[in-house]
Amino acid sequence: MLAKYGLLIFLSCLIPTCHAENWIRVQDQFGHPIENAVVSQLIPATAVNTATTEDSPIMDQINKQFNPHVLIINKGQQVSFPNSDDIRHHVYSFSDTKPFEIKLYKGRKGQPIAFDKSGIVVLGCNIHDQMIGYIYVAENENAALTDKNGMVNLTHPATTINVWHPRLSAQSNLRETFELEPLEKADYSTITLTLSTPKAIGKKKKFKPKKFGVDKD
Amino acid sequence: MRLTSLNYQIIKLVFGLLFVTATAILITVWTKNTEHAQAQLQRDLLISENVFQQLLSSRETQLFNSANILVSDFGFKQAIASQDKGTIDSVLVNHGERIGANTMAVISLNGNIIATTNPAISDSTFSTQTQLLNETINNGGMTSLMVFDNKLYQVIMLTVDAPTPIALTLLGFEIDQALLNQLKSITQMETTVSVEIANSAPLVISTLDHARQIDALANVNKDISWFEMNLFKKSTLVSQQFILSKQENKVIYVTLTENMSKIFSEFNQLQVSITLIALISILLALIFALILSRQLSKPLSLLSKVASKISGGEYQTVAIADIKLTEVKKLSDAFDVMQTNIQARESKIIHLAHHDLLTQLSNRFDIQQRLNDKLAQPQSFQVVGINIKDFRSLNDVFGYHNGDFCLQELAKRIEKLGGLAARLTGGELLWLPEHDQSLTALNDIKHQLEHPIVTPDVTIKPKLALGILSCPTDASSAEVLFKRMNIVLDESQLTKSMVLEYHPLLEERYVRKLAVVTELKQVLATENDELALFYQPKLTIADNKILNVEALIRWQNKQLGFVSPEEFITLAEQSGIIEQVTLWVINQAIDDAIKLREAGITICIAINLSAQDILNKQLLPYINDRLTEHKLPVTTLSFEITESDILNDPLLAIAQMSNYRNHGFSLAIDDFGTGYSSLEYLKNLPVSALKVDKSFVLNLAEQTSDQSIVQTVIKLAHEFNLSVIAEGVENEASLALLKQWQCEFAQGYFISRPIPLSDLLIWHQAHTQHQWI
Repeated sequence: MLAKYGLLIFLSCLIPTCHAENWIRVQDQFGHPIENAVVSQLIPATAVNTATTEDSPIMDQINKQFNPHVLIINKGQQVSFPNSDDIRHHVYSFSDTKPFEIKLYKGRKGQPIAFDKSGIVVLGCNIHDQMIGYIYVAENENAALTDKNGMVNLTHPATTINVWHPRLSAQSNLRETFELEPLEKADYSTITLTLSTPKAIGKKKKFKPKKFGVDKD
Repeated sequence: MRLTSLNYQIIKLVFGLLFVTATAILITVWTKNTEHAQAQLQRDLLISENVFQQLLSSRETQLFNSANILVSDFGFKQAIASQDKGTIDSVLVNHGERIGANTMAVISLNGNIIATTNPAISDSTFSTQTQLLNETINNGGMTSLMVFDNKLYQVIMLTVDAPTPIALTLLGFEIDQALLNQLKSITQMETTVSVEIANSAPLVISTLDHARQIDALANVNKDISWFEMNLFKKSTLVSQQFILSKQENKVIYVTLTENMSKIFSEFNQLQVSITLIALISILLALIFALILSRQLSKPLSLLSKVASKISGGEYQTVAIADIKLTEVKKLSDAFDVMQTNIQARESKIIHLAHHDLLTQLSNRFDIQQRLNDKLAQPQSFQVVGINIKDFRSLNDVFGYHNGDFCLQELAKRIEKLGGLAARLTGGELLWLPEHDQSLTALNDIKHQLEHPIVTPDVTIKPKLALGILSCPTDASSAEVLFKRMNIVLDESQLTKSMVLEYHPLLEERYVRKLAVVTELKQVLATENDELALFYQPKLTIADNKILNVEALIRWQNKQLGFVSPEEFITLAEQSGIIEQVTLWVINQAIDDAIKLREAGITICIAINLSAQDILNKQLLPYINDRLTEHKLPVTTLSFEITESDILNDPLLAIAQMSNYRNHGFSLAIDDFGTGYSSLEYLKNLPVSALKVDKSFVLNLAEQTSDQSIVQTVIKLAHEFNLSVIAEGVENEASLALLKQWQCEFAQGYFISRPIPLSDLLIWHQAHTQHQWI
């Protein structure tokens, strides 16, 4: 997997006009690094590496989890949903970007699904509620994922960037735009996101009867 | 202190004790029961509250599980995601029926209503509640109590996740009376849920009817009181309220209500039982108290009657039937014993009152009564008084125990004679013979009684004097009898006849003696001139001169007339006033001697002294003082003493007489020849003269025997160097004989009668030169 990311980045760096480094660190309101945040900048349509669009990205299912957790594709690309588990999955999406459903299947490669619209696609499994994955469909964007240290290299200088993360909103469809300050001392720019507390998706809903009964304390 | 009967006291005690006990128990039970009920109620209410909460909570969980199944349904998610309103509506109805939810709705994440089964829920219900929505979305759901269309719902709101939230589902379960009834069946408490909404009428759901709801809500958190509930018929409902939920615009209260009458009903039964038991106990106790007090008071009042009879001297057997109490029996027995003892003691006292302690004969009191009784009878009877002569000296000499023994022995002897015997006093006994005894017989009896009495120490020969009275002739009452018996006994001893019958003369004499002594005392005390000294001259035969006179006392009493010196001097000696008489005589003689000396007559006055006077040691110094006072020589006075007086106590008399002679007084023996003249004494008597008794001299001229005696006496006297005075010289022949026999002095009517001082002065003048022979 990492090799493939690395390949993606490497391929991006192969773009002749782009040999510079632009490191950005994404952290939450508590200063902790945020992994799997998508940092992107708008680029002209001509600059989009069309070569990559020809590939067929894969959203695998391993150990009842989507793998990768967040997949960045360009608009128009087709994504394959192989099932590496020896159990069946029922992958679906009710996102406006691309509602689809792959009924119970096991092991087969399946027909890749094309994503013709840019935006966020939230993936779920009807059998396994805890399975959740995201496909970021980019259009005229230079987009990259933060690593586990919250670091990402856009490779191009940028002043305006967009940042997306599932926990930015309840429906995981919100992106935020940031203006980058020129770097003076630091080696990277720092972006701070305000995230909601992680919800135990798929697990039994936890709530306390806030309005019910008298608070004893 | 006010007296109350035993019955009343016992009943009061028993009733009081039981009443206090029962009341104390009742009060304790009341208090404890109320406390217990309070505690139980508090506990019940607390438990009920917890149960209520637990029930709602578990219902909530149950509702949540049901709701969760709905929102997890893929078809439902799909329908929402695809905005398929028809499908959504049908799913809501279908699921609502399946899980029994009264109200269902699907709400968009921004609060708009997508679908609902309850027309009261609209977009405006949640559009303003952004925070509530956000929290619900973040938490995945929430529960609350909400009011729609004036109905209270337990509401569950859950997110529809696909897999991120795409909408909210609302499920409402109405809290209605049916639910509360169900809760009541578990908690056993009346339950009222009231919702107070701002600017709106409160919503009340209750297991109670309307009227009791108001009552229950009015009695929230009040203390329970048995008195108020039972006595004042106040509400029996007690409520506990707690807040179930408090929101911005509404407060939901839960009121748990217990009907106390349920708790108190058992308690009331207990009260009734205790009261009943107390009343029955009091009744039973009163009955037992009555029985007890009857068993106690009846014999007691009987005993008190017996006691008052005993106090009146009426003795009888204490016989109380039906005694059931040991104490009363003991008391009754004690009464018997007491009565017997009192009776015994009384008879002993009566015996003592009537008998002499020493001799066991009747005492004076007893014999007085008996005598009076006998005197009341017509029969005449004889009374013999027996007096132990000199009983006092007998006691003095032999001791009282021997005196007593003597008396007891005599008493025994008299008792053997039969009749009635009594001891009057000291050694004086009284005997009433059964039959009258003659004087001879009485003399025999006297001898019998005088047999020597042998005491353990000594043998005593009692000398008795008997006096005899014949009643009722001699005495008509016991008092008179005692008096006359005294007189006759005195007389019997004085006259030494020893057995003497009473004669009225005896009493006359006695009365006369009494009168003489009384008058004499009076005269001596008042110093009137009833007493007088007469002087009889003594002729000194050899010189033919009058140098001596004898002073003779004379008493002319205005009542008794002339009283002879022999009579009153004897009585004065017996009654102990002779000393006063003697002093009077001495003083009078000294006064007269002074007058005689003033008249130029030097004469010696001879004064008679009795034995008592001689033995009186104060007399001689007194005489000396008087003479010294008047500067008179001792020869002014001389003294004459009767021979028999000296013989009573010769040694002391001689010693005293020696004192007189040593002081220069001359002494003469008076009445010489009448006593048992002892030559032995005569030898030692310190006297200078003998006075021959006039009985020898009166007829001296005619009686030759008298002449022999007188001549012998004169010779004898001269042998002892004593001069002789012849008394009772009544004629010249006698005087001639006396002169012939060389008698020194002559005294008698031939020379002169006794004459008062004034006559003496004249007589002396007239006879200075008189030639007597």
